[in-house]
Amino acid sequence: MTELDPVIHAPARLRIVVALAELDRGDVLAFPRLREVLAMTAGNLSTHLRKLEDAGYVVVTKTHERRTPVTYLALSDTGRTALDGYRHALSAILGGSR
Amino acid sequence: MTSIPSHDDDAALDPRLAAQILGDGGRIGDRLSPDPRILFGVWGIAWFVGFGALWTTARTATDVQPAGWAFAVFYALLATAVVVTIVHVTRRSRGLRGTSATTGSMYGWSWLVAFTVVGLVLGALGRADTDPAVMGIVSTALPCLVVGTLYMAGAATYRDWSWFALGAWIAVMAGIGAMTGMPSIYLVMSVAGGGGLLVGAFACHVAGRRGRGRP
Repeated sequence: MTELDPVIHAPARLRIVVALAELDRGDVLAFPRLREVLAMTAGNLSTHLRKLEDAGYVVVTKTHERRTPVTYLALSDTGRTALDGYRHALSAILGGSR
Repeated sequence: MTSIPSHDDDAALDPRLAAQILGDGGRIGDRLSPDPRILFGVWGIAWFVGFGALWTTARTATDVQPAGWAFAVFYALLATAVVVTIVHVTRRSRGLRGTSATTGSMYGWSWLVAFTVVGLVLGALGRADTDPAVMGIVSTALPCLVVGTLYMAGAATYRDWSWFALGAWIAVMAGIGAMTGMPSIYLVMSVAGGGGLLVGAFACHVAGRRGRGRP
């Protein structure tokens, strides 16, 4: 049985990682826009982002624009590799269960 | 809002649901980049109808010049297309920063610079009492050549061959239109130019917007 990465293997975190993987390398997405795209509550999104940040999968950049604090998010290289691994593991499981 | 309650987020995830979430990535990516169907579509309509109006009024006029109302329609359609483009691209790129935002703003500015210069050149030709037949050809072929060239440059930036082909097609049609002279150049730019843009919009629709261009 192939192991699925427990950090990504949760609906909310998988959706976050999948969404951030759509950004080009070198791009970051603001927290409110990610929240809107995923239709998640701010609290829920923050909780899962913290877990992803702790695992080193998501890079969180806090900055100020016109004196307003803004948080930008991006998938790290580790996060991209983890998502690729998850994809392979999942297709192995789904392929094997048929 | 979310279909997934927070207390379930750490619960075991059905592999089939996981596969579905992975498959939704493309749809999310589309929401973060401009829809080429909207951009090609609005410009296609503007060119098809606008140049069409210039052609129908010019071909029946004794001086082979389009009617004032035709120019009004043409410029109103172009202005609408500019506004739709700016609003759409701005909305889709909200919250995005980094490399592609830099590329996008440089590309946007290149349009503004190019068309400001086109305006200056045409203004200078107007003041130099240029023959109306010459003015008609240059004022149509020059901006269309710039559009075709900037499409090819954009396609090179985003590595999109279908967008490149559309740019090359428009540039070539500007040349062919110029060779046909007045007022046929308007017909060429309406049918081949505007039609080409509409075909491009339709092709993007059929292709399901994957491998999308980012005009």
